[in-house]
Amino acid sequence: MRRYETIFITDPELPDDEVNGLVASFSGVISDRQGDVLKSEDWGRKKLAYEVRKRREGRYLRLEYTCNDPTLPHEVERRMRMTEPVIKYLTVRIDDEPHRLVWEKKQEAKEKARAARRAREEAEARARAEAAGEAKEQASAGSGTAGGDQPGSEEHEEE
Amino acid sequence: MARSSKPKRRSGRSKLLFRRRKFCKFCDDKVDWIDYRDPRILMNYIPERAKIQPRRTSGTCATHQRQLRRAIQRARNIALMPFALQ
Repeated sequence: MRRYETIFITDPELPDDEVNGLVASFSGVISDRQGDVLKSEDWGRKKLAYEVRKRREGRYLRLEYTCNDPTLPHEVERRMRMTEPVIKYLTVRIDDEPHRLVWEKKQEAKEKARAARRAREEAEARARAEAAGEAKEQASAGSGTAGGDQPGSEEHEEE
Repeated sequence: MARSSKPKRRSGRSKLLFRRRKFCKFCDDKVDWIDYRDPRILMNYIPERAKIQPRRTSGTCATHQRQLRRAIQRARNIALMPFALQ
């Protein structure tokens, strides 16, 4: 499940019920595509760091949602582009720990290396076992302590 | 990485270059992720004209500097922080 967060800014003068209507319509777009709206926040009126469409203030809203469809955020943004009161938007992909993705890829690569090594060692062990039965036990004991575990935990702490 | 004072002489103009022995505040506080939604922390790293401070000035470590830059750029895009100031 991909997790996203979209922050968008509306005209601060917009009445509350209209704002809620906007939020509802965007949430509807998400749920229509089997997405789950996790959180919806209203940060209220805030001063903008620079002028946007002739305004110095805006109303900040935030939507957090998950979905399996990777085209969903594009659709949400498309709707926002078309909506008059929305003056800015930003969608970010978050997965709890944002850099977890990078770390997971590293782990996968390590796991593959470990698996490849294990497979190689087992093949060697089997070949040796055919030659002499006792040799196989020694080889399995040796490959059990493959040093791949330690580098994994160290990488984690670096992050 | 060595962070000691290193005076460097250039022909015609002598300029002292030194790196501060500053630690990365983010590493110190063990932050996992720099949040772009809260500009208060980010503001410490954009003096005067709202430019992002280089690592050698702020003392941030590489990882956090990257996160910081991304966070500041995002905050700028969402009008939480300015692009440039006079």
